[in-house]
Amino acid sequence: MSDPALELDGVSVEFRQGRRRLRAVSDVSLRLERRHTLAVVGESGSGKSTLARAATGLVPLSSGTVRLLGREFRRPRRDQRRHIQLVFQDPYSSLDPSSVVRSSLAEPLIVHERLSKQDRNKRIAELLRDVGLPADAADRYPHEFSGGQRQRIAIARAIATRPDVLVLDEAVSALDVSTQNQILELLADLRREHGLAYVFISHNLGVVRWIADETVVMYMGHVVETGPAERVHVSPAHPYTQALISAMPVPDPAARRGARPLLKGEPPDQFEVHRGCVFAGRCPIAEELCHTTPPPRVDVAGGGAAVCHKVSNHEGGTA
Amino acid sequence: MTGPVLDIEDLTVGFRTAAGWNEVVTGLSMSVGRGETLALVGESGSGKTVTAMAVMRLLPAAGARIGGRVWFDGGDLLTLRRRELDAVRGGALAMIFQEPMTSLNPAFTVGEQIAEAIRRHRGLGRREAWREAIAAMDSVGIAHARHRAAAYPHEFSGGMRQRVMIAMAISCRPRLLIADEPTTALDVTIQAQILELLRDLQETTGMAMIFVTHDLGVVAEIADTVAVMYAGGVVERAPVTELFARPRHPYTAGLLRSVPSGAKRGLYSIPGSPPKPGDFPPGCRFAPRCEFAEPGCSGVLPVLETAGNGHDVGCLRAGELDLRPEGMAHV
Repeated sequence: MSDPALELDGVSVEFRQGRRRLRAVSDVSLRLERRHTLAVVGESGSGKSTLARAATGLVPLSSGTVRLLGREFRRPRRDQRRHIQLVFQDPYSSLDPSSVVRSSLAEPLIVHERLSKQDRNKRIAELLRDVGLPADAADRYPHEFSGGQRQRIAIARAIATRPDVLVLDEAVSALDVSTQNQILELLADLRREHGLAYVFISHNLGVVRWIADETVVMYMGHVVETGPAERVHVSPAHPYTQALISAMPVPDPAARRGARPLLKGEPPDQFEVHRGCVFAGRCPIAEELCHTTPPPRVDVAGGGAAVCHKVSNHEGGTA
Repeated sequence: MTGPVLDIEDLTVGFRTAAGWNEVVTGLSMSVGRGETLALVGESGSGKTVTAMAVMRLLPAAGARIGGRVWFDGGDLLTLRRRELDAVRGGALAMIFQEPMTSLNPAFTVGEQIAEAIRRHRGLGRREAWREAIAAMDSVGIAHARHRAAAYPHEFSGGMRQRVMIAMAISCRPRLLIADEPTTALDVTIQAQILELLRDLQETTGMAMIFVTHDLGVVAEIADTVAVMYAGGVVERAPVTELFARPRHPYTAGLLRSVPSGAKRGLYSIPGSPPKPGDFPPGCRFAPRCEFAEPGCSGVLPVLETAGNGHDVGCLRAGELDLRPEGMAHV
């Protein structure tokens, strides 16, 4: 039982548009321990959602391997698929509006478990209880629920097959803060009670700091920094992570951005091929070398690593 | 030039439904002065966007019933005729939205669209308007504005499209800009740029701004004054530092506590969920979720009363509660 829940090794995903190739995920390796939460953070175009889909077998890998509970898959077989499930941002578009909740929850049970109708209904009642919904929710339609309740239904469906890994792609991003926190607490409870491991994909660093054990920061398809979530948040080493954290609006008028540096410009065209560091074009401390040579992976004090030419002589955090 | 730029008195908005009229905004009053940014903050369904749309007269006349007065430039926006309205909107009164792509016409270059607004509201000729459009794009930080003016909306990123919308809005020198979640769809690094841009523009032009958002972090970054909305009404209004340091309404205090701060401490959630329009509870609409509610709270809908320091609050128990955030109790 020492195999990690999920392991990605040198994973790349490419898309083609005409003759052009877009490398959405570039040589990503990561390891999710059982019962842990690994957060993947990044802005649009960072490749975090493509990575989620690659990890669950929804898009083919161009290279690299994915191992689930120690077993490699390229296309997950049915008996593997039940161990890893996805939850998306918008539960309204992932639930069938014309089906009652009972049939949405029954579907994975029919596909993956051979249960009698009676046992299936018992299991559905159990699932609804697990996610904090009343039993009569089973006979109602998605539109009768609030956004937070719908996300509870989506989570119930995801855990129906008793998976080991849940991939949560911006699963709380569309919710209002008060609802968002209720769902985060639910996820923490489920992780404890069901021994789940999470890949938590998000652009919200405050939420990530709360829920994650480890954080992976992506930019333009590349992992630029990894490490314990608290370390990454408090003393980010990579200039991009630093910029991302300093750009977060702080709910304290006294801390209003004055001299805090702003990241200039926008991410480059995704089709662009970089010889050096992908972030060099926007990086406030980039040198000639950064534009010409791929950056090394450098260990960071406090755990994890940053992929940057300047990190070794540029201590993490405030330097 | 004294007095508020915009003064909303007792605004009420109802929507027609199969079951009759649903009141979604109730008796809302507030004003914003020159150079001031008023943040209108609330969760989805609180009525903040409907308020902005009602002020702009963007709600369909057939489906919406609007009451009250909205004073702007000496007239009541709610009684203006179509032609008068056209002269004001997009000119002295401008609005930007969350998703700029849906507010831009995909079939015209952005330069043409900005220039059209300038010709219409400032009466300039074609060539002059085009020059002004380029100047406006330049002032919102679009590099190579002369060249980019000839590009179509789809050729811009989300952040750049929002800059285009801002350029269009400010090109006619508005006295009030209403910004409805203008950075919500943007990445944080781009959001930071747009917030800084809006602050700079406001400093140089002195325009007033109503900034609609659900994000308390953004409120802290940009607002001078904050109005907190819940279930169709303003429950609390105060200068921004005052509001964050001494929230006086239990809902505001709950929202502030809900922001994840620090590491693995417990997360606070306001119990339950907001009521739906048409289903507002009697009396104080927050009472069913409020940990401080007393039997009297469901009797009457509290009105905003002043609590000093420019602070207004609509809560029967405001005078006796100390809701200051942890660690600030003795500030």
